[in-house]
Amino acid sequence: MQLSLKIFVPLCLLFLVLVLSYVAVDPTGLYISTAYLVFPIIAVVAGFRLSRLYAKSITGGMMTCLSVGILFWTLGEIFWYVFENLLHIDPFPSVADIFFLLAYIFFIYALLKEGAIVKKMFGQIRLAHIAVYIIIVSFFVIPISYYGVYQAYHQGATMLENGIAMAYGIGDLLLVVASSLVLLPLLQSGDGKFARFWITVTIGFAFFLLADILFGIFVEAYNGNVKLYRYIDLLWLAGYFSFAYAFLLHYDYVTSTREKLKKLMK
Amino acid sequence: MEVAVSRQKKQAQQVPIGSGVLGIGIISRLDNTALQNNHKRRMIGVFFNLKTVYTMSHMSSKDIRQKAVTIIATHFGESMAGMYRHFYVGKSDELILTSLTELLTEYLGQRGAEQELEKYSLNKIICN
Repeated sequence: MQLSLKIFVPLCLLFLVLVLSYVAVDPTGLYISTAYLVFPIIAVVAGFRLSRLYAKSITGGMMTCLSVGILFWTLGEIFWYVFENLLHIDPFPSVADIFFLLAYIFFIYALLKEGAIVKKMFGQIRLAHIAVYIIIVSFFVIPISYYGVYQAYHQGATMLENGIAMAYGIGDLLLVVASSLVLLPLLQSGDGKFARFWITVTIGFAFFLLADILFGIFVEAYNGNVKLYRYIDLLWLAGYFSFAYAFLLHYDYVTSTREKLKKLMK
Repeated sequence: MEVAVSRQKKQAQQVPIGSGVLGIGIISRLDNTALQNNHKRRMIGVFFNLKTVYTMSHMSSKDIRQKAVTIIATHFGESMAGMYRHFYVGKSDELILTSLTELLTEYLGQRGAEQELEKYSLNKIICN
């Protein structure tokens, strides 16, 4: 996949600064928590700007759904940040969870819409690719089912807490299935700019899923602020990085196409 | 050779299908089987698609332009479609189809572009 250096390099540098900050200072501190919000906000702004370019089209509808999903995750992050760092109260369960969970609906809807467009390509997928893909999807589905849904249930917790904790796992599972519906045909014919966009977005989802799995496994160490396990945050951050990169790169593609057309028309 | 070509052109003018698209005169004289024969395609140096030729003959330039703009609006939005609507004014059918195919291939990939063009019966004629 071709990288756009003018977008990738600045984002990478910003990411590197955050990684070094995580290593150098306390990952639970106010500075890191604030810096953590930079990538989600970049992703949201880029997403909505791209949606505006595609206004009144099927692509625009999907971009808007994705952007709303990321906006809800970002709002969830902001509420989480406020509860944890400013109000000093336990953010789980809270309004932040409502935003985090609502986002899944928009992501899955966007993925299913894209799936409906690429469904014609399903017939052309090779069996070997399907087999490899099932293995990769199982890699996510099995641990999410166990750690995200089964282990999320605690007898001492309230029904609301258990419900929310398990809903994250179910949301992740649905996201894996919906992503696989879209990604497989796109990988088969991944020579278009939309394919590149969706592949980057799916890589972003993979980072989130991986982070959720690790969080499910090491939840006690994470909540105990053991520094090594707080690095799980970097995987969530990498997810936002992928979204920001996908949106910015595609925005660049579309604007350059429009510029070329304007030049031709002169 | 020149005589043969001009004779073909003359014959082509008498055949109802064809609307100024390259290769039409030659295509009109070949049967369906021959159209699918790669060797003969190479011989005349033109890649084409019978369905396209048939469809093109039943589609006015206005229809082609309108369909192209509709496809762009569906995938890229009204703003981009508006720009292309202006761009396509006074342009030939061939140029419109080439431009549309390039745009769709760039964004949807080759297979996606083919499927979309087929959906709107605008399969492109590619000339060598």
